[in-house]
Amino acid sequence: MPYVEIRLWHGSRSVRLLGLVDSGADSSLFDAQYADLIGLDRADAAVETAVTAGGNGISILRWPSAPLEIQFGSSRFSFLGSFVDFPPGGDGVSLLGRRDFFSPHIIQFWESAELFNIDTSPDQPSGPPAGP
Amino acid sequence: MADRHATAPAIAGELAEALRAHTGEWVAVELQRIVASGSSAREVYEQARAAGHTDPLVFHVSEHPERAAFF
Repeated sequence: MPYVEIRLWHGSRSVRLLGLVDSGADSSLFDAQYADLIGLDRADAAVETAVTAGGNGISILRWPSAPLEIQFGSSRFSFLGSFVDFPPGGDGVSLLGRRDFFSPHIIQFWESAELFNIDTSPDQPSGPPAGP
Repeated sequence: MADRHATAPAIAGELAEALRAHTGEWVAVELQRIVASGSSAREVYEQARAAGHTDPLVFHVSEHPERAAFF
């Protein structure tokens, strides 16, 4: 899975970060330190429990009413994910998941060739072909 | 069609190599160069800004920084 550079927006504040494009992630999950950098107040966060791929429960932080957006190139869209405090000394990686990052894009992986494309302005599907 | 495909590397080869020395740390990067490193995002962000880098790329260096060289 590749990393890409994105910008996380909170209103007029933003920070540039690397996220791992992860088709296995339902939604994006960023290190909570980024939330601090863009001025999100932890006292206002909704604290929820999520289950990791390994089956462990973790506490996550969400700001459902905050104007959070992801920018990738010129493509800018709502951030629908959450934040987590990764354990100190761990190898926490911010993930770009399906609900937000994958939704407006066509993302192609060609693992054996180490090729990867993100189509940021795909043509919308025209619907199923008309029947006979 | 080319502009529809985001294939430019987020991290170029030399930087990916330099990041190995910072595994487990937070770094701030500007123009493919490490401008700050430390133990927290805020620490490196503020170090970078104090050095005149107003909009650094901030991230934690994973055990596999070479992956970042792909894209």
